[in-house]
Amino acid sequence: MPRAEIESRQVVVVGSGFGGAVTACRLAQAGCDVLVLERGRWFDGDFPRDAGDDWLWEQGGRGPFDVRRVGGVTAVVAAGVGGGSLLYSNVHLRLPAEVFGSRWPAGWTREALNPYYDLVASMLDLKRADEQDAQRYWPLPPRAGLLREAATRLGAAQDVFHPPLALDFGDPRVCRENRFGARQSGCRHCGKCSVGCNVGAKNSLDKNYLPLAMHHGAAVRARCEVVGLARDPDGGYRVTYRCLLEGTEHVVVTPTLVLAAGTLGTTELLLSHGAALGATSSRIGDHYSANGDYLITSLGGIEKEWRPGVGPAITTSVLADDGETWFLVQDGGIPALDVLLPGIGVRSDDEDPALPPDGPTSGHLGVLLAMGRDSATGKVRRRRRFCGTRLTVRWPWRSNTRFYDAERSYLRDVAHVAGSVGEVDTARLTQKAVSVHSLGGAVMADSPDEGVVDAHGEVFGAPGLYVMDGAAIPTATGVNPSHTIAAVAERNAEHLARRLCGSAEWTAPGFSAVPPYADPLPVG
Amino acid sequence: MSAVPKRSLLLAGGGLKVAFQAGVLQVWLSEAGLTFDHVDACSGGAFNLALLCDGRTGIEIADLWRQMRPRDGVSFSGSGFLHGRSIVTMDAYRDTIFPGWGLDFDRIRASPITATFTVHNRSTASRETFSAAEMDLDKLVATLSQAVWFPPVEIDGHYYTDAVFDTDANVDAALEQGADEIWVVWTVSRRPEWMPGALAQFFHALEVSANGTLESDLERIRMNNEVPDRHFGRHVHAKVLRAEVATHYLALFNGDRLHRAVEQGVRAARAWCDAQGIPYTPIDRSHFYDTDVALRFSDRLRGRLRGRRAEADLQLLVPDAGAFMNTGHQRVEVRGTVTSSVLDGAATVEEGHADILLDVRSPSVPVESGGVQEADDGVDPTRKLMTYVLHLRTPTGRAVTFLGVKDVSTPTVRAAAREAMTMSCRVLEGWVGPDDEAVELATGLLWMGFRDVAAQLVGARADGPSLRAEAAGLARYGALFAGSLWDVAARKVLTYAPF
Ligand SMILES: Cc1cc2nc3c(=O)[nH]c(=O)nc-3n(C[C@H](O)[C@H](O)[C@H](O)COP(=O)(O)OP(=O)(O)OC[C@H]3O[C@@H](n4cnc5c(N)ncnc54)[C@H](O)[C@@H]3O)c2cc1C
Ligand code: SF4
Repeated sequence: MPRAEIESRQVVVVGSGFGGAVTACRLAQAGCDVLVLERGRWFDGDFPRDAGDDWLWEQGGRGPFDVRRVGGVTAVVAAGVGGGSLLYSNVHLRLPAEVFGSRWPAGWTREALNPYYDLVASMLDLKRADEQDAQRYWPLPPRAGLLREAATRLGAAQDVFHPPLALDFGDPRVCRENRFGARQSGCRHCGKCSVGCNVGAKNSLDKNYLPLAMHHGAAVRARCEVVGLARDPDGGYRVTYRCLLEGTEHVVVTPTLVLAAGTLGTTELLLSHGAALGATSSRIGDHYSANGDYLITSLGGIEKEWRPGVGPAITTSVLADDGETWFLVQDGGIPALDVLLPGIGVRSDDEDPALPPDGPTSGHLGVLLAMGRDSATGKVRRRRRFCGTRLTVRWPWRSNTRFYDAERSYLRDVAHVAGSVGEVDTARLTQKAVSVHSLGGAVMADSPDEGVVDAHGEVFGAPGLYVMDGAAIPTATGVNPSHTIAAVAERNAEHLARRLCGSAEWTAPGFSAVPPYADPLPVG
Repeated sequence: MSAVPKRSLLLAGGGLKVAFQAGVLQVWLSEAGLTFDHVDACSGGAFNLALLCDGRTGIEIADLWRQMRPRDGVSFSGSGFLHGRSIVTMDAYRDTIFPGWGLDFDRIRASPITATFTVHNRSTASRETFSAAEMDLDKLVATLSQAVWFPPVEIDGHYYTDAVFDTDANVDAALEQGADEIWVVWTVSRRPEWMPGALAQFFHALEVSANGTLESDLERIRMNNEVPDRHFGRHVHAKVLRAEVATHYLALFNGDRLHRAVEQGVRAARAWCDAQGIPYTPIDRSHFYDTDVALRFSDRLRGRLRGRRAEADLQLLVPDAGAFMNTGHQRVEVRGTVTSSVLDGAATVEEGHADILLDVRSPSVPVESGGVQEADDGVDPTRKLMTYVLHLRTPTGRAVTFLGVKDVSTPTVRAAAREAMTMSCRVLEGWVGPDDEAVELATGLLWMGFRDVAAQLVGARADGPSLRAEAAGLARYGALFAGSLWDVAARKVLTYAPF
């Protein structure tokens, strides 16, 4: 390609999830010329609902779900402008202080991160579902009460709390512009968070960080999948991406390349191209964590209904702490499926928002989730197969057995107490982790012997190359990780912005005025 | 009013529920030494009145019931059933039970007691009473012969049945005898429930009729007292002791259950005396039922305390099966361990007991209005509690108290079974009693899995003088357990288990 045709940008960000959106926003605010390349599309009230819709990323890059069956793990990740925030359950929790003590590089403490957590909290308008004005239009859903009751009967009343949610709890009948110029309306308690909110009640990244980035001049290119990375002979990096709409390939060169393609996306790019980019660490792909994800479905609840189709995906959490380990239990919401058969899908979004939603089939299903600090010793590798190379994760199920047993036993106890007649526990049979919270693979560390990037996210041996997403998180977070991914990105983006704009004082606008936000996790 | 008030005792009907009455007679007559100027019996009450007239004391009557085996009284009607005369007959009572009691009608006829046996004369469609002097076996059977179930009795060309649909406590007989005080022992159920099926409906109809008549009789007394002497020419004081007795009126084949009704009567009457300030000297009959058979069960539960895993591995020890099954004091000794990180590991039970399947009791204070005083024993046999009080020593030497309660009360088999397998628990600091103030260290829930239940059944052991006695002990425990769950959850089939 002739040099003259090659686009050049001051910063290129790959991926628009928590890491990417935060970084792009802050760098754009610092005056940088930022290009965001996102393989997925914009979903503006256009999430799939019918069985015939495009649900999966494989379907021409149009679906929001990328279900990656990689070795010992099935990782569910999102593809779309906004990344995981499109499908996630809106939960934002902070890391307990003790977690920073293990494997985090020097300088990372809860105290140091708190102001950045506050910043994220204010950007995403966090609110707990039990707060008074969060209950103006709907009460807490039945499953919140059921989980609390079950935990109380197990003697754990003091461990129950309502995590902060990035949700618009306003009037569900009114659509209005938020302070970033994006259109949102209040939550309808329809339980469809995990298949995308078509009414714009989730404060997903396409409603805040990304519009703000664009307002400051950042370009967000959707449906552009990065397929190649190389060093540019003239310095900096060469990014090759495929435009999925046109089927064409393009190149952009940049001195500052930010990888934020998600834990698996970023790790895969580094495994393929890291050496060529100059990365010196032999730890690429190491310290993968499934964040202890465990899910069971309880059947029955004859006397009491979970009604998972009512209310936002997660509203309530229990901190289970047996002295040795701790983990969280949460009430999973799933859309009231009219059974996913051809022609039938998730219930329509058009129904009157004033009517409480409910599903015909799933009232007695209880979806119970656990997550916690697993060993974070998985290894992401590329394996040669006859049809090419494939990503695979070696997940040490065995060394996590005790941990999973503890989670399973708690989940089953909760289900039992809530009147379950039986539980579906597929992980136990398959001994494979299903994770929606993949972390690690290109972790921050003090030296290349321990990790891939330094304490500011810059890849050892590759100046100007950054990892700003879940891949850089050195340990399992135990809690839902997005809040930490975003806060870490805030802090590292600040550092990077200072470098790029040459001002050692730069902070995100309004940073010093951000009020502190209280994290409700019963341990600090 | 005369100087010394004349006192009538009305032994109301209630089929086999009148075993309760026997317990009351023990307390009122033998323990408190109360006397009555006149005694009337309707229907089942005639069992006790016949014994009284035969010269038996309260305690003797109670002891007879304590030895009674209700299945000895069962005799089916055979061809009588086909002809629609009755379902069962009184033959077994005539041939086995009454001779077994040693009833002597010469003695009865010679009784100094002013007694009236109230019956219904079908031939004249009127209420009649027989005095003690008139009594014979036929007349006693007539007084007891509940229509539909027992054939009517023909005496001198007239057909007699029991009086229950007319009256189940003959207040008029007492008034005629000049009573100033009328004491009634009432066991006809007043539970606010209406069960389906012909059997249940028959007895509901009976209850409607009997309760209704008593109510209007009591109302007459109140009205009389309101304007002094309006009807009866004197002030009349009525005292009604009621109880819900956990036996069916007729369908009962298990002695243990009947004996528990006797002991319930003893307890209720003593509580009643306490409330009235009537002194009594308790007669201890606790060793009456001793069998020398001890029972042992494993009781394994798992669950959580303060959200943390916990396990109880307990052994329940029934020191004497007979006493346990009959006295209503269903207390077992408990040994074993409770393990949880909340208890620093495996804590050992140093002293522990559990009360198994006790009825919930809330005796009402006697309420008086218009000269009518009513008291209720306040037992709810449709709710059973299993209460554990364990004094534990933790591996680190701490003394803590473990309180566990299984509350069986939901009237469906599935839910009741689940409740019987589920224990809500509290852990308190120090060794304290269940009602003491103490620092609460944890709460939680433990439950049995189906494997634990199977282990309990398979692991049940008896220790007694003979294999037969051991087997009987286990079987009786099983009947108590199953019967208790029945009372909670199978009331639709029969209000109280027949075993
Ligand atoms: C159903 C579900 C529920 C969840 N609930 C919660 C929750 O309640 N709370 C919480 O904290 N976390 C939750 N998560 C996890 C959370 O979504 C992720 O941890 C978070 O989104 C990770 O952020 P990230 O920036 O690392 O990557 P992502 O958010 O995954 O963003 C990566 C982006 O990069 C894009 N991309 C990947 N490869 C390329 C490429 N080659 N070229 C261009 N673009 C590319 C992807 O399409 C994606 O948009 C949930 C996840 C799921 C799936
Ligand atoms: S519950 Fe429904 S309306 Fe509310 S955020 Fe989730 S998907 Fe949107």
